[in-house]
Amino acid sequence: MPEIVFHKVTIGYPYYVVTEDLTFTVDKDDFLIVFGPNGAGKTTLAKTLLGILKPIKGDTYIFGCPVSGVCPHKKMIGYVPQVYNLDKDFPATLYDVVISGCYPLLKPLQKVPQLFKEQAVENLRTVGLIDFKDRPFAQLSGGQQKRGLIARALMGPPKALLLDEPTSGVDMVSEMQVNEVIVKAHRIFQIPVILITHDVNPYLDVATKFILMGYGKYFFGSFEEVMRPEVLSEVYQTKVDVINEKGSRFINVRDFHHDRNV
Amino acid sequence: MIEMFRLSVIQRAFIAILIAGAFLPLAGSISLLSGMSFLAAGFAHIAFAGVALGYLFRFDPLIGALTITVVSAYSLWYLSEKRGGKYEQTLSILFSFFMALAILFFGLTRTYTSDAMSYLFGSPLMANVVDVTLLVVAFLLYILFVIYYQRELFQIVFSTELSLASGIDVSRFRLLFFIFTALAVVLSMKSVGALVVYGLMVIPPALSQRISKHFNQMVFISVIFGIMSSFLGYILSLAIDVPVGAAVVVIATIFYLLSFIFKK
Repeated sequence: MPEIVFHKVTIGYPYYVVTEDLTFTVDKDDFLIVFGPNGAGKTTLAKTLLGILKPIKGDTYIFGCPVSGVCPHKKMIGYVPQVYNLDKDFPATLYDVVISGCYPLLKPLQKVPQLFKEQAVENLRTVGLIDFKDRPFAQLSGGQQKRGLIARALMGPPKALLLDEPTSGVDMVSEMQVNEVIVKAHRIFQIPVILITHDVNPYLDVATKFILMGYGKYFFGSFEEVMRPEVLSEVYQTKVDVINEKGSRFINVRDFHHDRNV
Repeated sequence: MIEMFRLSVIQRAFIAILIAGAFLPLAGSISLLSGMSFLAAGFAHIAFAGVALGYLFRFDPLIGALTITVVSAYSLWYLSEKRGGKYEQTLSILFSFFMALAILFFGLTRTYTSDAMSYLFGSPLMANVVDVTLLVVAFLLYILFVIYYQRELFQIVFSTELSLASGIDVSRFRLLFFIFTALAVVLSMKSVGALVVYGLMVIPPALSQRISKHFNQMVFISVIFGIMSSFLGYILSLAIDVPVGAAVVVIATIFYLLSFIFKK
């Protein structure tokens, strides 16, 4: 059975349906990219996967367990949230934040096992932040904070990694570093990655599946099935090219008002 | 002054002021990191309506204050968590409404006794055995709550979204936190006064946040500074005969200003 199964699932809020009949699967070695315009329902899907929102209808299985039942799956998905604003004096070091990723796995008052302490240090090495271990988390750069949150999400380790726009609000160099860490985590931990992003291009070589969400509609499948200019242009309501040159693939959005690339 | 400490009323007052000095910064640390610093000021003003109600209908003002503040804490939680109300707006509305009621109730009683003033400016000497016992019990319960759920509390103040994703019932914790804060404010009012409860909930945690690197460290240091401010403030109030609440907040503010000398 795949790690994650959505079968004819309707997601949304009590008075507002976001997407109906969503069907997709995620296998152990999958790298799934979820993308689409703002407000298309990507974060709603993330919240449903995490169990924060209940599916309105349909069958949802996460690691073989129905999401509506009593299921410890919430503790098995490493999650990196979208927006992050923290008081610059927040009293926590980077290590404090990373080690907190194991808290859901501990009983109240249980001492943090040595295994997790070593894992936190190893994860900091994996994301390239071991030298920042004792720095105040809130005083790290946006990109470093995102990498720190990835190290936190990898505590356990989890059975899947879910990232909601991890490169939003970071500069180009930090974006590249965050991208590298995500791909590295997928390779080292051998867990499925579900990545919500607006910028699909850095991941086109590693992604195995795509979900394109667009105002009630969705498209799921491989690169060839989803990344078609007519599909992308319909969802984004503008001309979108899919370029395949010298083995490199990328998506290019054109501003049709001026007929020039943007 | 040593002679004075042989009197049970002075000893009781001393215990009350020290417990308030620990309880308020403990609750204040969580509210400060949650971006809810205004909670203490809101509850202190809301509680005053209960005090006024007690004077109007001639029952223990503490019972009135406890009832109205705990009901308000629940209402704040219900309206902001379950009915989509905005937290700041809801608290501001409750604050204004109950302050208006307090003025109305005091207007109807046509008296404004010195005992009522003790709730406003603080007079630990007016605290009776029941007041002090309730304060100690609520404080001990809150300490157990903070120690038992320290990891959940850290995650909630760090990120609500991550806490929800970890399976923490953030809403339930928020309700418990509102109720404990209401208890901390009301039960400390007689000792330090409604006007300066806010100071003890904000100044020691703000000081501690400036110099602490870790969450547990911040909570601990804020409690220590709260106790030190209360202790020195009480001694000062006995020595030069000034209202204890004011003396406590002046001492706490001096500590806060001194913290600028130190860095994390």
